[in-house]
Amino acid sequence: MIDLKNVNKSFDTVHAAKDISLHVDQGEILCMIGPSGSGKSTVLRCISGLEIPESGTVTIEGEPLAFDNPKQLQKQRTKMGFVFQHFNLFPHMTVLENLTISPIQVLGQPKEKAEETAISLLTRVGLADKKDAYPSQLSGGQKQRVAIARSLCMHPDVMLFDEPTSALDPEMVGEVLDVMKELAQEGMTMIVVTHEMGFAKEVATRVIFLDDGQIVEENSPAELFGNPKSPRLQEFLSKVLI
Amino acid sequence: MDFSIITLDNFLFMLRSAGLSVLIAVFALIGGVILGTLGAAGKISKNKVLNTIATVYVEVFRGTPMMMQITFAFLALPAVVSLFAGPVRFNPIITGAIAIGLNSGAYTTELIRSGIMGVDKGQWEAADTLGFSYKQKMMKIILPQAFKRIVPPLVSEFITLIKDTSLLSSIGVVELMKSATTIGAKYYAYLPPLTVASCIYLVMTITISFFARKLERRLAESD
Repeated sequence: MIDLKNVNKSFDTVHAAKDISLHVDQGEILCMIGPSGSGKSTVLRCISGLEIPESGTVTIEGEPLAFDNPKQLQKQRTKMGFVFQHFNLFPHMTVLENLTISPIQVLGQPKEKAEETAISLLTRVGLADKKDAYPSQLSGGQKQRVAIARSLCMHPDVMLFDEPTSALDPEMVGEVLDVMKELAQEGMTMIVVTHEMGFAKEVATRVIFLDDGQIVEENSPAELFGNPKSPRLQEFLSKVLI
Repeated sequence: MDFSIITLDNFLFMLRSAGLSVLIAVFALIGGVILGTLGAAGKISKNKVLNTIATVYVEVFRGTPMMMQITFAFLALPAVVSLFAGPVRFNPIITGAIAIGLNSGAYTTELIRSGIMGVDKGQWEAADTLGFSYKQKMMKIILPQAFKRIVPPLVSEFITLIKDTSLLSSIGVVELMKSATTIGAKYYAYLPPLTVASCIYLVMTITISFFARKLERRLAESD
């Protein structure tokens, strides 16, 4: 479903993604772990088209991302939902408006239909009662659940998560992970950049460990966490709480 | 200081002139906002030609004294137009308002540009990932948020413009400053009318500041 071939991306002098090749199948839940600055977010952002790789191709559903054609890229992006570390809800809109604006503007849905979908998704993430609130009135966990619902309103084929719980107070992490687990159980294809090793262990179908812009190890969660092969991963796992 | 020369007639004359100052400032502000919007669009644009035009415009009008621009407009505009249309006389009020508007546009360009660029990067990215076109992103997400950042400094710009209209006295526009020096010349006593004029400027600018603060608080409420 998603294919990366020899993707390279640098920021000034930092080579953040080195020749990354990666394949993700429909229904997979891929977790990317690794130390800060290892390039996992960069890889995710290349998949979403937020970063334009210097070389290599990103293919989604057999179609290469059209980095040089904004119109086409814009269309391709609607297949992918993206959840940010810092939520990035639109502060000047209510929760309901945050959810309905893209279906109305981008997909041309009638308002009633967009609102119907939005309410049912808000109910799913347990926030239907907050539909008229503004983002500033929500807790971090609530904001992130709204952000997930906002992405789902576009009926994406794959959901990309960029450290979705890293900016949350510890007691808010669980509610967001629960929503993500539910999504995984429903068969959504997901790529998750995370520091939540417990989540990766429990939910992922495959885990990738990145370091210094490269994929160092790639395996099922049981193997990767239970029997890490590379010294770098062993060192990393010895320092993080699982 | 003998304030008795500020008779009711003289005072009303100054008030009328103050009205003209405000009118010119309003005109210049509107012109400046239009030019500033175009200028900011040019500065943000990836199109090299538009970008260069906007940059040159801003640098020229911010880099030369306003007094020079006003005098230049007063002398050069009629000279240029008369090359094509025969001898003309330009109304100094209109010439002055155009000159101040052009100058204000340069500052407003930067003000609008920084207001737009100041919107959190995450907002642009969120709109991108949701599949918004550039126009939708600007109209629905970025500009409504930039607006809040732009309005308060725009009010300060208006205050600056009211004061700047005093420079038009040099080309014979009877705005507030000129009305004061006219009365001063008539009675050979400049300080009383200049003091009164200063007070009128202050009343105008403080009033605007007061409403600006109110507006700012209202805009901040939804944050």
